[in-house]
Amino acid sequence: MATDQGKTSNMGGLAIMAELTGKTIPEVGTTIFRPPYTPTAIGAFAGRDRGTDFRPTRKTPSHKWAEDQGAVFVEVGMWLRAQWFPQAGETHWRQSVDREVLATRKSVGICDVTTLGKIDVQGADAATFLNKIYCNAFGKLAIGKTRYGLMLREDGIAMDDGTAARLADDHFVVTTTTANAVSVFRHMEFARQCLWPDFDVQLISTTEAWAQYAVAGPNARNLLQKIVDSEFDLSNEAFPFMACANVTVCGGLRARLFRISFSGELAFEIAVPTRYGDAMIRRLMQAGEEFEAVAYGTEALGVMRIEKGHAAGNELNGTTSALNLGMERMVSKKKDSIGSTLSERSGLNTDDALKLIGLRPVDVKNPVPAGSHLITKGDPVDATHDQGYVTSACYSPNLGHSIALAYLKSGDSRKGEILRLVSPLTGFDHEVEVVSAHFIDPEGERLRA
Amino acid sequence: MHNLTVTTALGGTEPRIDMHGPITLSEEPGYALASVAARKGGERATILAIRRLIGPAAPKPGHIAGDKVTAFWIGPDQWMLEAPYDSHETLFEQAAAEVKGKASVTEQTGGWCRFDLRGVGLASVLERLCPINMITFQPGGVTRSSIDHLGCFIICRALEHISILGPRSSAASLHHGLLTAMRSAY
Repeated sequence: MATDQGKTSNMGGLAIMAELTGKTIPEVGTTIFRPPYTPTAIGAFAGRDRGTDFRPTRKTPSHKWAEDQGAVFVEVGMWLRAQWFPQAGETHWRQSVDREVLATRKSVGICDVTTLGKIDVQGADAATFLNKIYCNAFGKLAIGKTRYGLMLREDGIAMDDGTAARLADDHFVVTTTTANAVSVFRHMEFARQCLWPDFDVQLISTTEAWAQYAVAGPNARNLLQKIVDSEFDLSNEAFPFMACANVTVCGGLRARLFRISFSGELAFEIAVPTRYGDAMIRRLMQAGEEFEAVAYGTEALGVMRIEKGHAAGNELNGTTSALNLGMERMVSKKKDSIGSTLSERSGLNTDDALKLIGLRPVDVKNPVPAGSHLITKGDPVDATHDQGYVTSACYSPNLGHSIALAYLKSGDSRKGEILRLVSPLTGFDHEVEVVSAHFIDPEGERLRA
Repeated sequence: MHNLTVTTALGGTEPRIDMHGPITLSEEPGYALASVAARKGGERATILAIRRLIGPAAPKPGHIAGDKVTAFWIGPDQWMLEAPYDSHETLFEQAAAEVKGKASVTEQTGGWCRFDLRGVGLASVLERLCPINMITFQPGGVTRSSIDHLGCFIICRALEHISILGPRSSAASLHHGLLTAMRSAY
């Protein structure tokens, strides 16, 4: 019946029926009409749900501040996030992004990460529950510590990643990626209500209850020491990599501090009640003046995580497993978690399985475009000989050339190999070298500094 | 004491007020929120703790109860507490002390924005926003509905006073929807 609700097809159908039965059309009779009874413009169905009214816009509490800085925004999970902050004289986005990346790695940068999903997980079985949700172990995570967690779907494919911070024996704060915040919460609620209804665990979203800022770079601690009240020791000994704590800032405001790093730098994330988000970013930038702190957006964030070899949505693309991500050892065999059994399927564990690797152009003037495919030198360029594909690519201002993350068959044992990177659609065809995905600080000395 | 400035959900330093026809729409940042969810075996203790916090019995589904501190039902064995921010900034701590580990308490103040609609003839506005039966929606009633694609709590405080709690990050979208409905109705 479709959009005309039979108004067109009905008459044709009745005419055919009349012909077949030897009756007149009025003798065949009509079917029951459904509304609308008269032709109606499609726009009338949409009503006022058009344009920006089609779905709501989500803004972080420091949105106005970002606008004042001239931020260029991008929509992520309905949020508006700052991509970069152009400064006077910058005419191309790469100039802004390169500046933000270099300044952060040299001294300190601040990024609004409010949009990341936050889920409050409480209850006597909170740790047991997270052990089911994440493929890696959470039962013995110490209070005051944060751990990276990988969630698998039931079929063993990677679903989302994030961190879980243990604030008390029976209290965790789980973070999700921005775009998957709702689907992960729904997944966890399903698991809580339907898979393990006997667990004592309570979930509630706190994504919007906290404004959160990443402070990253060699001077991150120096900057935060001016913000966090002096009774809290931020030294590496007292507050090491992956620590978390309830603290107070600016003379008594409650806040949460996490020492986690997406950029690969010495980094913290500070969360304050949302109504103080605007005040906090202004205070952070003010306190950062002596360190020439920069605000950085999602593009610089992306460049730094590619330089560091951290996976993101491009790598957790709905087709990849922990093995593909190089995280197969994280899938604990000592417990049962969602997806752990099916992650052992032979088809997901072939000898030539895709592995996450890094790529650099042989001629450093060339880009390494995302979406291009890898072909062994001498092989024909066709699907049968496809060796893998580029997931994330950027220009690294620290290395001075383009870099990329890619999935490559048996990639972990092919370091140093020269491959063809081709895109038949655009005619791109250049040589690339297989390297470690960790372009910057592979030993992790910076983030543990 | 810290001297950080508060911004409202709409991004101002003062709450926004709009008047149109007989209706006043006001942004209400002056309230603290905390969610309370009973733990396994703590259902009875949670109900009693909520009574100690709000005065009357813990409200049943679809209802709000209390005076200065109020609670409304948000799910099986779950309630949202609401109280004036100035006197109850750390409402979640007060609630946690009262439930004594029998329920999980989470600060929710920043998670929501609250808009109040006041005036005669609110039904004409509400019926443009969501499918509530405004004849049976009486003072003390609470319901959850979608307004302009946003999941909201709608609270009937009096026949001429209705609160709408929506996700804070979408405050501007929600405000636009409410104002549009007011202008459509009057």
